[in-house]
Amino acid sequence: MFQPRGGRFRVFRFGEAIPLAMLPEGCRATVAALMGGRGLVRRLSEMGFTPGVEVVLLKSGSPGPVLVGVRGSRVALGRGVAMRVLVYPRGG
Amino acid sequence: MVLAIRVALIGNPNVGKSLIFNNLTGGKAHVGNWPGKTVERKEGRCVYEGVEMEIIDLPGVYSLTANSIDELIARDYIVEEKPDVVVDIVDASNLERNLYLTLQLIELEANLVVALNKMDIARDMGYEIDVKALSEILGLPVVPTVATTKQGMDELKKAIIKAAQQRGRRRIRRISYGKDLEAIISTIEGILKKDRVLSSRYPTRWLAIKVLEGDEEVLRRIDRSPVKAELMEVLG
Amino acid sequence: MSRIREVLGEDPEIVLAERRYDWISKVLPKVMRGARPITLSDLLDKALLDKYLGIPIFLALWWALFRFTFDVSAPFSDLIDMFFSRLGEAVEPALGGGVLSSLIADGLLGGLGSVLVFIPPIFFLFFGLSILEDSGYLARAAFVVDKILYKLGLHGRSFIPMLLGFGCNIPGVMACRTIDREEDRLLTIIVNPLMSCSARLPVYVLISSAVLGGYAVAGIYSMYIMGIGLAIAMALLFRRVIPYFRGRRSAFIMELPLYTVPTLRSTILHMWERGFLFLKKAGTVIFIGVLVVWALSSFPWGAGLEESYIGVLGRALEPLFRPLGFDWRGAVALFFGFIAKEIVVGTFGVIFGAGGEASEEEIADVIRSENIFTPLTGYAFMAFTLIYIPCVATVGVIYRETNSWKWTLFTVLYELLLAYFTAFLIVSVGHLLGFS
Repeated sequence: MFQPRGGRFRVFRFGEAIPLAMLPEGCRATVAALMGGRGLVRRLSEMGFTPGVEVVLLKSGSPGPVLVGVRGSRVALGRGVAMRVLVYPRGG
Repeated sequence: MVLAIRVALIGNPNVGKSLIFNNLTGGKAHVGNWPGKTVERKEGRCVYEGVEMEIIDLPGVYSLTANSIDELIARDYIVEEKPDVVVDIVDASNLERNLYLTLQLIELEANLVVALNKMDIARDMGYEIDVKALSEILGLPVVPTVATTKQGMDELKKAIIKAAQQRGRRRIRRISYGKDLEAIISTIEGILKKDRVLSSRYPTRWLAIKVLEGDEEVLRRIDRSPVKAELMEVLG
Repeated sequence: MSRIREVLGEDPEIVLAERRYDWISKVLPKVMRGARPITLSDLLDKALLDKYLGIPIFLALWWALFRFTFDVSAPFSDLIDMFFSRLGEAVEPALGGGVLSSLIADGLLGGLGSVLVFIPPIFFLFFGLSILEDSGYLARAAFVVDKILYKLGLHGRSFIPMLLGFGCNIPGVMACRTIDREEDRLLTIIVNPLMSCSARLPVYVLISSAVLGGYAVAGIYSMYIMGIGLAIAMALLFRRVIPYFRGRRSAFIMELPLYTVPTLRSTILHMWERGFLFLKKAGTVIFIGVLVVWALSSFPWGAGLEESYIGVLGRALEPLFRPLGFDWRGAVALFFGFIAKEIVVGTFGVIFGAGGEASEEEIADVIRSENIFTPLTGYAFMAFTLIYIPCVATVGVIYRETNSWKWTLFTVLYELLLAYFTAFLIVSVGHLLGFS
């Protein structure tokens, strides 16, 4: 569908990235890439979701939106959106 | 001696902007619409130490891209109307994200005063903020405020007036986005400067950044510019 | 942009966002100390956003909001009601019956009074909404509700405009600009008028207290539920049936602010802002509307109600509404309800205000005694009021927000049809069940 953007780590470790939506509650992760159209990527990055930033999954959806801690604030992401943010999990 | 100035209030949603607007204007606001749009436009007046300030409340936005009508309205007002002072209201308890908008305002070369609001909440959360250091690093006046108790309002008014008087004379702190990126921005700026009309209306650095971001509104304006071909060549 | 992308290694757009945040990250430690603690907000969110508790809590809070609004505002409404009818009674003999005294007593005071009676509930509703919003809860509600809304063709961002629509459709429609995808925005605007705005409330209260007896409150609450249900149904329907809406949904990205205890000052400020907007719109339009209604019902002077212009108008419209069980008076009230919903009650007030009194109590009595509505047709009337075209002011705002005659007209038409169909359905089913 869309090419992953912002994949600075793409060459080396891309295979280990999973969608944010699939993180277990309480898990920390680092953003790897954003997959989506221009508008979505823009909104995500201005909210603070840029490659390399650390996030923590506060509340999982399944189904439904997820609550993510990023850059000192809490942001709710709809499920579709959360599937488009690829992250490297780093344990709880 | 400045006697009448126009002041725009801007900031992220939920930072206490409407409360500060209310504090400054004393609750007498004129509510209308932005011309041609249906977004609500709030204006008020404030007189302090002989200076009459016309205060306009811009929509709460996270950034100044062309994402939504709110952002376009805020951005267009600053770019086209060129208010004397723009007050960026920053939530002290959420500094990291709030500064993102501040950076964009600096790119836009707005005459900024930063109101660092919710200092009480930041304190309760255990944050200690060095206001002076922040002010130095940004190269902007920073006024700590607590809108709910009206703390800092006088200092804010003073800062606004001072900023209006110093307009155009203030040194703009150049913030670097990295050597490689800055090189590209410079190149694009160089090309844009050849269009006298464009570069006299808008800050070229801001234009260059927006071109890189693929900003639809800016690209539309450049579309009719004589430098368009050269620009496209460089961008590839 | 491909050359640039090569040089930088990624999309320049993303690079810019990264570099800005990079700069901020480097600067932050120099100006701020202290890590983000677990706040009370986090703890509260654990409960309020819980997968299972979230929705029941939301429904409970919402019910509390409405109970608060109606119960607390009732004494104030009664006071205003009494004031205006006493005033009317006093004024009329003083001016000696005649056109002028009728104008003032029946027209201005009667009509206006029965409308102003509902200012307390409107302001209290906005008060409650402001508290929910300023405390930060509303964002959580949007979060909790997004799950459901998504499946129903809308999404979390639509929630707040819809909720505002309960106060007044105008701010509701205008709040839709926070929805960035155009199709979603349009869809939310189109179904927004189905959110029962506070101007319709007077009609519900009047009719339900007149003919629904003990079920009055339930009847009113059911109107709100019906509005929501229909909004959802229409959204689903339009998404499926109209090609324009078939596209992908707008992304749900929303920051959840910290919970704060709203200050009285800011709550009153917000309440006043919204309430005043509503008042301004209502005030001018109603005033003119009431006068028009009075004029049409009083002239030709001396003729009875049914021979007046309003009567003629009503008789002309009556056949349209007979299958629904509304007589010419209901038809006329609905007709004027297009100007502003508040006028529906105002119209009744003027029509029944013969003699200067036009208090709500008395109107209700007349409705009962003259059998203008039965419980069944009264309920159908309430449903019709809920659904049929929004008031002129709202139509105006819809046009300005959508910039399209096509969609504005569409909204007006589909609502008219839906209203008729629903009222008809209610009456038909009621007949089948044995109600009259």
